[in-house]
Amino acid sequence: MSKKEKLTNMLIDKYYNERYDINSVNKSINESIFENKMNNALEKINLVDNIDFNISIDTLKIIELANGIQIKRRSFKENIYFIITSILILSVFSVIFLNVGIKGIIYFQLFIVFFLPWCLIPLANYTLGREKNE
Amino acid sequence: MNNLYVKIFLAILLVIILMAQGFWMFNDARKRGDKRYWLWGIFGLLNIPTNLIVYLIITRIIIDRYKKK
Repeated sequence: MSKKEKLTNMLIDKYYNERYDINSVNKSINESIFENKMNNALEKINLVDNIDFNISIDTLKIIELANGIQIKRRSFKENIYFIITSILILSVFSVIFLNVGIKGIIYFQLFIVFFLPWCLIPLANYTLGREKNE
Repeated sequence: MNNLYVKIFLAILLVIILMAQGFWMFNDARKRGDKRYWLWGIFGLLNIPTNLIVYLIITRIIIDRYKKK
């Protein structure tokens, strides 16, 4: 134990009226300044101890709030990614259609209008039925 | 010349409508907890209004029917 630690322990004991080595009270000016500082700090600690922190913290609500904020941030990011992706996809389509011509657009749209509903609706029905059975 | 402006205007309008449709489908599928919300969003960019009708049939009729069962 260093001299400073010894002095600190002694001053704490003295402050709380506990037994301390009276012989070690051999004060120089620096030590009395240190004692004053220690006493001030201890008084502050006592003050904090005496305050009644009557705060009821709803942890679950805070966690829910944090989750909500996180989801909002993520969805905002995803929205931006989606807008960028959609611009890219539409530009690629427009370049393709400019090269292929109006016939390409018509065939593509006819394919989507006539085939995709007949594929997707039974497929959705089938996958949902399978998931339900599992 | 006037005809060209009309074509450009219609093309821009079409792009805006397609993006709005895709964006709405993307957000709606995500809100409903669908794992394939990106696919729905891209699907919404391809055509109007058939894809929206297909999406509404699948999510509002087929999926809801299975959820109720």
